[in-house]
Amino acid sequence: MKLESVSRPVARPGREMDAPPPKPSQVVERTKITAAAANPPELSDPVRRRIVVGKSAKPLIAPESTGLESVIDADERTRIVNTTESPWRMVCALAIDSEWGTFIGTGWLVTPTTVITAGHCVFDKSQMNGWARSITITPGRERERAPYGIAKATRFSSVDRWVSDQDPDFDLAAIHLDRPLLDDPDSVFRVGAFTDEELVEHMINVSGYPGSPGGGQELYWAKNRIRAVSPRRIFYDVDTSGGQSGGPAFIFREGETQPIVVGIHAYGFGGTPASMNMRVNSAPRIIPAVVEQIEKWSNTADGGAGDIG
Amino acid sequence: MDVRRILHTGRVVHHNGRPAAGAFVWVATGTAPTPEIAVVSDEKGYFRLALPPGHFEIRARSEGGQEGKAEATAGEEPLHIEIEVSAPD
Repeated sequence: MKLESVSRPVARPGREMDAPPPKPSQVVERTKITAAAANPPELSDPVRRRIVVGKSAKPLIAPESTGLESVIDADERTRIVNTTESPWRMVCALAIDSEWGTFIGTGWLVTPTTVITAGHCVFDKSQMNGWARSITITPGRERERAPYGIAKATRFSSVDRWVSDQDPDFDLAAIHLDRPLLDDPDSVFRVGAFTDEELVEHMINVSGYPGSPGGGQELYWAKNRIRAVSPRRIFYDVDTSGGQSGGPAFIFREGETQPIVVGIHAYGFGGTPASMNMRVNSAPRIIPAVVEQIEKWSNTADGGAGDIG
Repeated sequence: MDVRRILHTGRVVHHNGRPAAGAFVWVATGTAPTPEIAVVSDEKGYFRLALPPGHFEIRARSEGGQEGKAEATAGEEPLHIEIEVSAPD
């Protein structure tokens, strides 16, 4: 298997093709994480009391085995009001404009100028007729407040497995910004590929901007633990709904304050294979090839836009 | 590999038939994978929603917070999905 970056076509005559992408491994055999921040963001006491850290042998909620909803039993999501704290300020509300309509989704900062989201938030042949035309990004949005300003982007990248095949296991993308949204270069998520043993039973946090509740203007967060992993997906008992696509599914390791994204939230219950016999939500799993691709998007000044077209 | 999705149309209206512009529409439940993105209805309340074959509950929320839902069984033929939103009881 090989992942290649594919970017929304932009007019840029004479630009050379980027170097070929790294070759991914088939399974996660070793841990691979993007570099830690030089000065990791501190977590406030309220955030420390809220987030979940490390592993747990038991789930926080005991889901029942009936129904097919992305909200599992009672809605356990909590509204985050103080969105200027870490990690909430690194989560972005997205307003997406395309040829076939407008949408809302969620993204998260991996560098001050790179937002990672789901592939279907930037490219969807069936829903958008191809690439989004523009995306408006508001980090830390809290209703009408935009504490770090608002950016409008027109440069996006995804991977070949999403753009060519709409393969849900590779439903990821990058939005390239023209200017930093946050002044602090360390206010970013890390991205990590972990082995099955490391991930299973790890506590996980999922946040985003759903259409309801909150009308796409309020940040919500929920927690539980990772129920299962497959080579390309992680599955968790965490409430989500439409608008949270692209949101970070992240962990905190014991003793660390910088969150590590292990999955990009994309699908509700309907995305869980029947063979798993679980009512859980899921995210494309971060694998080493994805870490390498995100590093490449992060380290390229223009994100590699203009490779095709 | 992704199951082929068909683009369906729909409209969000208030109980008096007035179009609900700027409403969010999303798949709440389903028998097949759908992305957790939310569609925004246009100025006349219309929206487009791509669905794979299956049975779905589609929900909508107006700018004023009124909510409604509709059931849809999607196949190969495009559907028109009408959703009426109203204040909670």
